[in-house]
Amino acid sequence: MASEPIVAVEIGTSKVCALVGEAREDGHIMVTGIGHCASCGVRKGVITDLEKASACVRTAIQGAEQSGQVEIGKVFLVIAGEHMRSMTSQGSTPVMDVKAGVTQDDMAQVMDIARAVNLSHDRELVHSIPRQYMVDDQLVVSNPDGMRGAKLSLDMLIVHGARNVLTNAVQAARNVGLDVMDMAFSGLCAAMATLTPEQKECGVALIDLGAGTTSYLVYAGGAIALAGVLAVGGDHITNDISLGFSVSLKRAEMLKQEAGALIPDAGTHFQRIAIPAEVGFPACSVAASDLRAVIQARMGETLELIAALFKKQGLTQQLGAGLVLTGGGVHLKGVVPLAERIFDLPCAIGMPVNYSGMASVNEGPEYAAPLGMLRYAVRSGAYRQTESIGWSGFLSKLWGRS
Amino acid sequence: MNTADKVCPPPAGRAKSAARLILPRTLVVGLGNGGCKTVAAMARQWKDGPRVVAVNTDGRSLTDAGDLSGLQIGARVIKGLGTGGEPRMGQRAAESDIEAIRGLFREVDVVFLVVCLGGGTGTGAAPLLVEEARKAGALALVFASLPFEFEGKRRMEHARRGLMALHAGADAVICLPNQRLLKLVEDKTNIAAAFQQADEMLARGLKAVWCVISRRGVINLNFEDVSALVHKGNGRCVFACAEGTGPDKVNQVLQAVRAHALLNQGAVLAEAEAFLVSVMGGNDLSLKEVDQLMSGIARIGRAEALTMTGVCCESEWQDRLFVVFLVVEKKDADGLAFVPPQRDDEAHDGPIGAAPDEAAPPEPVARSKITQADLFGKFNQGRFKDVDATVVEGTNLDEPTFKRRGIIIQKVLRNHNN
Repeated sequence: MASEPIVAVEIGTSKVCALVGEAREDGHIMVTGIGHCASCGVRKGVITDLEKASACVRTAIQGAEQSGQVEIGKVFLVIAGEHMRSMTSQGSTPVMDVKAGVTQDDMAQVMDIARAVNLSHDRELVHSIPRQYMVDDQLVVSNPDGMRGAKLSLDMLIVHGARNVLTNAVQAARNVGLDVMDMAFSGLCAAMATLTPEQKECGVALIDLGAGTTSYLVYAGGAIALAGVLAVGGDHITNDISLGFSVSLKRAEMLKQEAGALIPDAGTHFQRIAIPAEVGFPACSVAASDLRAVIQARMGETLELIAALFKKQGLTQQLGAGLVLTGGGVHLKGVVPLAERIFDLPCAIGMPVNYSGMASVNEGPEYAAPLGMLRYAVRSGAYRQTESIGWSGFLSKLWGRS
Repeated sequence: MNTADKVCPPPAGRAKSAARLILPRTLVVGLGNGGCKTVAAMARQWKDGPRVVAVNTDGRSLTDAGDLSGLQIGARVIKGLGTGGEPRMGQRAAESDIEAIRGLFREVDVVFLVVCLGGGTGTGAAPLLVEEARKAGALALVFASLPFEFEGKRRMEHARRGLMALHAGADAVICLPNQRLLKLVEDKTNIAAAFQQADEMLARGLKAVWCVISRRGVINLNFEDVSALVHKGNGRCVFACAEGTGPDKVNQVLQAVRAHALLNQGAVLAEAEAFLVSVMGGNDLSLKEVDQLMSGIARIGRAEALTMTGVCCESEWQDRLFVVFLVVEKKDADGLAFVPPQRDDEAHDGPIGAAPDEAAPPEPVARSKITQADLFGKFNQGRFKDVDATVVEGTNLDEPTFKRRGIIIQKVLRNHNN
């Protein structure tokens, strides 16, 4: 018997997307409904016009209700935007009963301590993910339950975001009568959808090439080592093309999607790409090599910035499984070889793993984040007791719910 | 001489449309000591040119400029003396007389701003003047000279920042690094003469571009051509002049181009992305000579380079040939023409005028108006105009990468066949 339907909503920069899914055995997720809508009032992953964004959410939800044959009242939100930051936090506590060893109580205690970080008043904690436990300052990778020692320490990754941005996202959903059950960071969601346990074990970096932002998440040493967002995305490529060739954003988007490429191609190098005439605009053409130069400069720079960050954090050497790319940006021709060259790591396009249902959804890397949100919702449902304390506190503060 | 008649038909015969024949109302502004000297030199050798105004903080230099109309700025702030080579003072001076500066640009279509960067007035006030000119709806074309290296690091640093601000604000910047003149002058030339030569160089380039724009040529080029060319190089242009006299004038010009210091012995031209050639000759200039000249130049330049040609005949150039090259330089031709803004440097975080050197300001100065944010705000932000800029390590990532990296691209081409 399948679980009750779970709905994930991503208010993205290019599209608002709602997915309906059901949890099956072994973590498998069946996608039963999908609705999407071209996005309005969202820039760089952040809502700039609440009314328009809400209208988009409504359209997407209606589409999902129709295709999934369900009524939607509760949703899980995917959160993006540069305001999302990560930091590590450590906490330790003496083990209560040394003879009995570490208990679940000790683990809950140390988690509370490590989670109690001092965020400034305009920040809100979104995730607190245990990275590794230590007993008496000796490393224990995952589960210290029952181990003997006097002191238990925990190393945690804290993901936090700007309170007003998070509030706006929740408000956009509430405006159309939806209850937000939980939120999750888009990079984490995309990782949940596409990365296999083996990859996480070997060390892997996930880069989600979105329209408004580029999110990254790094697994090193079996745990999440880094997460963050760069507010540069596919929109910037479109904007560069628009400014560079003095064409409208619509035409720039078309040029990017139809003729955009990142690697030289002998066949098309000297060609000119025709832009058909429209009302008010005469037909014209741009040089394929120039178009490529503009796109490559932007995409190259974005990846270089992230590569430099990984290098600075000493993570590049720990990525045994290389690099996984997701998001709409992977449709640009040649993005994989470009990323391989810049990171000097093997690189692959991340496909959602262990999903079934709507074919168009589970094959598209651009749906990685909402698909991952479904999985996150399934898993956090199981661990609600330990995971959602801080979060429900936040929601109740905002909306007066219990 | 019947060739003259063939080459110089009445201008109306070539006019594309009557409405476009109206000359742009042009104003030449010389700013700072160097700029004033340059425009004075220009006005002397060029009587029927456009309106010229000299703008300076130093009242004495304005009286030296002779019968030019002058505007003294910052009289209240710095009491009619110079700025002491302090761009902040130049900027303050311009700010204090902003109304008078606005008055200058009333009913003007094209503003040529002539400035020798590195000093106080020119470097500090130029970005403001450009801003005002553009606010008044005029096209702003800047002729800037960069100091000689011997003038010291401080002046060079000021000049670099000034140039950066001008690149951000002006429609086009044409740049003459004085250092290249060293190769041009004789060993014995005294220093005053060398500076005068630099001024005259700028004046010539200015005149050349003005001639192109005012469309008096037999083969016309207009402002759109110049601005398209300069934009192609993101405003990064150098110019050079070559002259020939007598029956062998074409060969003399070609020879001069191959040995020209400003063109790096022709190498700049050979690697150029695009260049504009403006030929000025007397009424005796024959079609054959022009053909000979152009094919000679084509052999020097790259085959793919975009070339624009203009020819204009004036009686004063009788039996002489004067050729002006406006060359969009290859990105790092020799590093002299354009020094990319060094944003990694801490010192650059301050206002443009804020010198990092030891010289303390004479008095507390109000924070200068042009901040880094303003500089970054100058480009067309497109769809990101209403959201926070993405700034990473001092670089605004919303600005197109290809622009920041100086990648030259060609704008769209109309399909004329349909």
